[in-house]
Amino acid sequence: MSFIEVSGLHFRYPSVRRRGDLSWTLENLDLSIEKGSSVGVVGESGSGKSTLVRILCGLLIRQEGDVTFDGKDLSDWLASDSRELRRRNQIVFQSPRRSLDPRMSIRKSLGQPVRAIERRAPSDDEMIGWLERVGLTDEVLPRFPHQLSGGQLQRVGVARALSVGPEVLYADEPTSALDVSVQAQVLNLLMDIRADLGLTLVMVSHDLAIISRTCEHVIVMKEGHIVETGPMAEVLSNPADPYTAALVQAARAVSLQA
Amino acid sequence: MLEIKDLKVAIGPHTIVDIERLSVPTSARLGIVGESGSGKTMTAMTVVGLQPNDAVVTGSISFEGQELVGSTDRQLADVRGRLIGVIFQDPAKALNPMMRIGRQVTEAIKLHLDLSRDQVRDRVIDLLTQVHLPDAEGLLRRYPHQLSGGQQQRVLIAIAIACDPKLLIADEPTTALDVTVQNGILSLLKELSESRNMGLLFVSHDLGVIETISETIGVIYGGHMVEFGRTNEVINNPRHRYTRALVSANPGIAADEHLEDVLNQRLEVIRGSVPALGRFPSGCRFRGRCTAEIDACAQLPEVSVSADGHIFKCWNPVDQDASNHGAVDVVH
Repeated sequence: MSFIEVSGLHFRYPSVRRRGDLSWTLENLDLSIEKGSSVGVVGESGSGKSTLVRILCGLLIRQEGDVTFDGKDLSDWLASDSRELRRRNQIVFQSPRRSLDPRMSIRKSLGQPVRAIERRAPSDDEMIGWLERVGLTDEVLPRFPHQLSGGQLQRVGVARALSVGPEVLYADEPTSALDVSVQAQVLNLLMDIRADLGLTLVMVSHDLAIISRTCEHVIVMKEGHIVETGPMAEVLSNPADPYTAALVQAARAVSLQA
Repeated sequence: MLEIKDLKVAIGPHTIVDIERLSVPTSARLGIVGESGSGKTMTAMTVVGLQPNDAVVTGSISFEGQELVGSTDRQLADVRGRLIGVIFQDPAKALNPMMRIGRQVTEAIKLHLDLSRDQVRDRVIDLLTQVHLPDAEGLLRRYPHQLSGGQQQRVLIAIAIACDPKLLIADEPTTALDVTVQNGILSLLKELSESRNMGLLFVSHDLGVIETISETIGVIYGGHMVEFGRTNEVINNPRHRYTRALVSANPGIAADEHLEDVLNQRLEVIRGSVPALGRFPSGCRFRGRCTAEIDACAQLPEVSVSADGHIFKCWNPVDQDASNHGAVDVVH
């Protein structure tokens, strides 16, 4: 059995249900993710890629189907050992500015996962170690989010996710709020960290170019369905589904050509 | 058609834009590329007098002989919409959520043209058809939230071209859109520019997008135009160190046979980040982030002309021969 195993997954948001709409946000998804692999989830906005990732790391609860992490069902994890689930699965969000509390210093924000999961306050030395791993220094500790650049904040986001020693790192559009030059820095950081720590990386992006550089496997989503999945190079050079082909063509059209 | 000379835009003590010369000939498509904070949007918005209220603008912007700097609000309001159309980054924010699509397009026409009610209605339907929106009649009664992002941007393009402007300014018009939708908008803009002989000033942070639509590119950093020339020459043979860094940092999709080679390969980065307003170094603005700095860089670089005819401002430019570096096919 794979590290993360999904079969027959169905999900709808409660608000959709209340409007009397019985369609699924995610419908009948099957996928598996091996330990230590890197998987890119691509698709247009509204295709359900972020929803899928939130279910996988236990932030949303699916209605039907099976989701197992390390051989144990996600509802069992959440019922009996949710802290351990969260320790092993961490997520970095799209907008670093919105995912950090503007009224909390970086010192305080950075320590939150350890406080919540390990029930202890991390020392400054520990935090400096986390910051150094993502290319920041202790200078940022007393600062507030508005005093840092987007790239620095995203590094704080990564440092925070790594602070509890996760095995799977989910990154939901980690660079789409950043400039192209800073984007390269953050992508390099994610690739370095994955290599150093042997993490499983699941990265969501609407940008196929980014996924093509960083992920060995790709999952293509459209309107709540998985339309294609496979090794990245294979899927990109020989797309089986027309939607994937359109996506590859569109992404190639805006890739710089020699 | 559009001539910018010695344009300086300052807010308080900080000069945000400092451009010596920039011209857009009739029906030309010019792309301005730069990172956030480079002054690219400020440059484009100053052309139509949409700079912030506290910005001090000096120098000259002339449009078909009419001087825009120092024009009254009323004069500018006449230029905007009638001679120069503008579309913005976020279509959802640019449309009035409480107003039907038909009325929003109608408003733009009524403001500048004296037409009868029926003529206006015909024109609105014609415009919506021209931007390839299906069922233009039915669309008139819809509200913005009933449209997708791509459709909303098409409505905004219809509004911008409603009075047959000679120049369309597009400020990151596809950044908020999906890549497949983005391509539709890009080809629409190109098509309209060609069929209507309409100039296009296209602002973006994405060189890949600029490449598909512009004939010429201006690269802007720290409010200075650091390189300017024909699109393929600037991208394939960048001379300024910043342009080259920008090209290298852009992760395109590699050719099929190289897909596996570039996987998990580190991308080239530009050191540091764009300095905050007023924190740019003197001399060459790229100093401090550049990897090929020499002593001369402390002075403002002079304008040089490259062998293929594009201009750049760099004391230690990339070698012409060795500069074919930004190609995504090359394995770094």
